[in-house]
Amino acid sequence: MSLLAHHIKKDIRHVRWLLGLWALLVLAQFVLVGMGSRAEPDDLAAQFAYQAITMMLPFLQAVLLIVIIPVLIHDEPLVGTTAFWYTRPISRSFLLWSKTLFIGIALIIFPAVVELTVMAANKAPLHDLVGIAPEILYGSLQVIVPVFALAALTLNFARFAITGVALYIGLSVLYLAIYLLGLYFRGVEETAVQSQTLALSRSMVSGGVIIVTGAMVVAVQYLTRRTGVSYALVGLGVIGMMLVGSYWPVDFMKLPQEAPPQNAVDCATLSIEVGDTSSRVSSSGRRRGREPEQIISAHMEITGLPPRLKDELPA
Amino acid sequence: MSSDSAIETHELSRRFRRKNAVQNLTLRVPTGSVFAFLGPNGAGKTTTIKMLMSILRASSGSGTVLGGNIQKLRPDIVAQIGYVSENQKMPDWMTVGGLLNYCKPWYPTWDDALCERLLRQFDLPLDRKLKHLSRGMKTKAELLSVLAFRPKLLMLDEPFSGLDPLVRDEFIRGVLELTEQEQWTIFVSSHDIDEVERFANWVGIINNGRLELCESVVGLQSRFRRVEVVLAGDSTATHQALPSDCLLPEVSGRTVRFIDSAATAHEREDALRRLFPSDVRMTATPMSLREIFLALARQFRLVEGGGAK
Repeated sequence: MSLLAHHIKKDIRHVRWLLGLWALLVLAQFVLVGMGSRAEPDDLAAQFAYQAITMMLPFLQAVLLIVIIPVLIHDEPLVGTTAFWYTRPISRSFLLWSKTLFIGIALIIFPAVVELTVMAANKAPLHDLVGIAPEILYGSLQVIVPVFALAALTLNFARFAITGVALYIGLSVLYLAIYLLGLYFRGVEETAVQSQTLALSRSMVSGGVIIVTGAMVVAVQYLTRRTGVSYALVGLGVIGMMLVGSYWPVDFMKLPQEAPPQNAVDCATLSIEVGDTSSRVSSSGRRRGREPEQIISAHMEITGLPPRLKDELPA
Repeated sequence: MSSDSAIETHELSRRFRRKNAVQNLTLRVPTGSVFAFLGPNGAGKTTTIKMLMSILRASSGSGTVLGGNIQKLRPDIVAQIGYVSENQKMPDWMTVGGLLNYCKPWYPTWDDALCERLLRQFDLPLDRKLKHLSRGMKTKAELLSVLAFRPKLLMLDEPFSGLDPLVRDEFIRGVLELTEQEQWTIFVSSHDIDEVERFANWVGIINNGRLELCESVVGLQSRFRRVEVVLAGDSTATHQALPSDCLLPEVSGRTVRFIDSAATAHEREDALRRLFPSDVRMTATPMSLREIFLALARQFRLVEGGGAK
């Protein structure tokens, strides 16, 4: 048996219960979603239960991921000077390869394969499956790589949790500060993203920055164990992510210009009635060099919408 | 590295922020020796061992262990080193049997028969998880996992801390039995001389990060003598004239006591005789390693406190 298989077998033995639960949740989620709700349309309790379960399963999966990855990585920690593996003939590159392979197969490829299989079973065309596979992998990597990196930077689960929470709070405060500064200096219109597809493009590139930074941190930690360098990389990654998230200029998610959609709204036939109860109208405000504006929140009744669009809107 | 030394360091240093944990350590551990690396707590023993094992990077200096550069020991070199430390964090979720099965494939020299024999000798339960073992049992499991691959170098960092006397004895007997048969090199650090006195044949003493002494136990014991001189008259002036290698001088009435650290030097006895009048009674008695260590430890403290003779 090769040493790689020997090591992965040891890791599987260590996290076997967690891994089993994870696999069960993945299977349950995609099978449930694939089957769809079999409850009668008027059986609201059953409908609600189905919705609650299908919403809860991804959350539980995420929680399990946040447990499995650190347990796996902290079995051979990369910080401190007391780890068992330091004094055994295990090379750093071997360990990196072994852990990456384990996480890649068990936590990224396995759920992706299950999801695609369920889609295929529901008669999704092959070209759709091929198109969606990279998106599924990209989504998984955006969650798993940062968790992997954080685990590689910490000695045990307690420190992992504390560092994770501190990082989350720090980033939230930073985002809020940047957003408020933007509002103050640039106004609401310029701070708000002008196009949904540009926002999506920025989010995609931000995700890429997270993945690349996380991968670099993992590589540096495993190959050199220079935690200071890794933290510097995290700092650069955070700055890069924020800059890209706010200023990335290329809208690569924008679809090419097409003919007006079938459910285009004819404004002449459209009427909007604002209800007289529970409505609120803000006092008129005016910022430098702009038209006066008011914010209205109310119950509205819209008539004259095309039937297809009507079906898509919430009641 | 010369083939007759298992460990060699040259001007090895390690700094932690402003503190020099190890300073300019130049050391040679002969192959086949049992080298006791002694020093008080915080002297720099563990830092030195961690640098030798490539766990910590040296701030400056160089070194080799079994011919491998300590800046980055290759796995094939590490496969010949057995490391046991009180500080090592074992994979506690494994059973003793699981630990042995996990370790075995990493070592081409793993000896199943020896492993079986040691398992019986140490009386370890194969199916018990490491986290459920007592400290002594855990240390024995750790030792078993390194002895079973017949290491060329056994690196023991404070292995006796927290062990009860019975387990200590078993531990030492286990190590001694094998090293005598196999001619392994043992590098053992301790702050307690009692534990290593029985089997060490070389000794290095580190204090405040500096290596104060490194020589064979035989050489050390022939060099150190406890000297007692009973004078006819006042002893104060005479004791102040003692040479600098006479350590810890004490005066009690007409008696002067000191540790002679250069007893083997030529004309040493003559020099001392000249120092004291001819009608004195002078006795020099050999010292155990423990007494020498304690005398040196007291001397270091005296020097640090500025009270050196």
